[in-house]
Amino acid sequence: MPVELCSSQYGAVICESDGIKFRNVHIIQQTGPALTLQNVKNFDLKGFIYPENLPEVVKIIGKSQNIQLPASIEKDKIVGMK
Amino acid sequence: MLLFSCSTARAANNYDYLYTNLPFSMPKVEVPVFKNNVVTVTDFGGLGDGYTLNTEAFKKAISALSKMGGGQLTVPAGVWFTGPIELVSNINLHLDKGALILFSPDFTLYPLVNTIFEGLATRRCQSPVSARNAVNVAITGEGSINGSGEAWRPLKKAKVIDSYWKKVIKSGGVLKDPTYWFPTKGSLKGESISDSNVPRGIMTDSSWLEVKDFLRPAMVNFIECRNVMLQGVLFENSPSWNIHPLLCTNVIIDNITVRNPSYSQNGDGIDVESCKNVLIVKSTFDVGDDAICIKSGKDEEGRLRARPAENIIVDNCKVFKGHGGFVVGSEMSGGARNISVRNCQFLGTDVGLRFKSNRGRGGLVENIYISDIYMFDIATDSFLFDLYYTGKSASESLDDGDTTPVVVQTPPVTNETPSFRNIYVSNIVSRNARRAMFFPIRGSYL
Repeated sequence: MPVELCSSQYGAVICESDGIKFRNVHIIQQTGPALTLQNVKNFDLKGFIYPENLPEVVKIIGKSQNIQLPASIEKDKIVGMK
Repeated sequence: MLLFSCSTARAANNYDYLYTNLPFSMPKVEVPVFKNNVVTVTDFGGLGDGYTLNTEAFKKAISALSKMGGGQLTVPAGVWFTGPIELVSNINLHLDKGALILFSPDFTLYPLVNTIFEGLATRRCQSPVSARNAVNVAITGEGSINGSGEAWRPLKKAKVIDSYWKKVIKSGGVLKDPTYWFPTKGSLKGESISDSNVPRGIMTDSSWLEVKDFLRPAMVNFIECRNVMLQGVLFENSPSWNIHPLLCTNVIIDNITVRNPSYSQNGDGIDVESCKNVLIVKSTFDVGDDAICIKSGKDEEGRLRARPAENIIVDNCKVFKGHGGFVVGSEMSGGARNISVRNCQFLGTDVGLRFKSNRGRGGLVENIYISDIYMFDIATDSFLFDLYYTGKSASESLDDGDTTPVVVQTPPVTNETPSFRNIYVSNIVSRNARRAMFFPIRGSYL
């Protein structure tokens, strides 16, 4: 069973963190990207479910480093990935 | 009449299932055991008419029962108006169905005592129910305990409807400003010299007495006790925190209900502070601040005390109103470790899972296992990790906006830096939250 977070207005926002791993996270937000990372290091996401047709799925800002995202997320829907 | 039957230890209690598949090892929590002696508060002149003050009757009953080696002090159906009740070793305060212990709102009945509040050594008024350095103490049964909290608590206008606000203003007290009411001048003065509810710079006993009204007690406070059980009883309307086991070993909270008005300042449900071997099961919370909260002292004092909260199981609990459903912090400087939270529902809390701390705390929080949590109608974040906690609830921060500048430089890591590691969260379902998760930096509230 996934970590499932449904029907929130906004997605997940992770800042100033190191070494977080998410497995099987399901987010259904109404506004903005499903996941925002700001100044995050060594982040590892596997098994991510999000609403279809999102213009931005993941937004990466600040000095984020070593962000591992599932290949299933289209690259043009990941904003700020270096 | 003294009876010598009917053990109250409830030997049938079986919590073994809680240790199955536990991801860390911990000793089984000892259930308190009591002698079969039974006395009733009426044996010592008690009268459950709602008016007669029963402080002395409870005191005499506890003393007599203690001299017999302990047992059950029965409180029959009725309204038992009283001042503070001090439990001692081997006493089970048992509230029959229909029994209400109603604590007097007369502040003079509650002398100042040395204790720890908000993680710091300080003085507070004596708790309505307390025990210190006791072994085998319990509150059981089907009755309820009411702390007359409305007499003690300050009130913020924004938290109540207009008619209630007007009623409170009319009752007396003083206003700090047009939106913040205090019950007495002493209460307001205490607030003005306090940092996070703990007065600073008081040097004399007379100065303490000037602000005594501000020093609202936790309703149930067990300090340095061993083998503590709360079972079956309703605890409501506390002056500040509702239940505060502090520095205790072997604590069982089973099938209790904890209520406070949603507007109650510091109206926490249970604050398990620096306790070891704790079970919180099948209990319901509907409170004005954090519901199930883990603490271990504040800043340097907490680090020097070095008493972590450890070996804690929370299982099958429901939380309705509350700032956080399950909370660690913000006073966690003594550390917290080996905590399992499973099979809980948070139904209308401000935040579901809430971790909070700040620079200066230090302390290590580790080996936290959270699973099978179901949430609905969470006002702000299902999962909040706020390490820049400023004392506001998440809803208050949201309402106020956060004008603090974004931190652009990260301070160096020292022993004042709180650390969180090995936190495992799985099988969480949340519907109708404002935001899924938020691990914020200062100034970044959306």
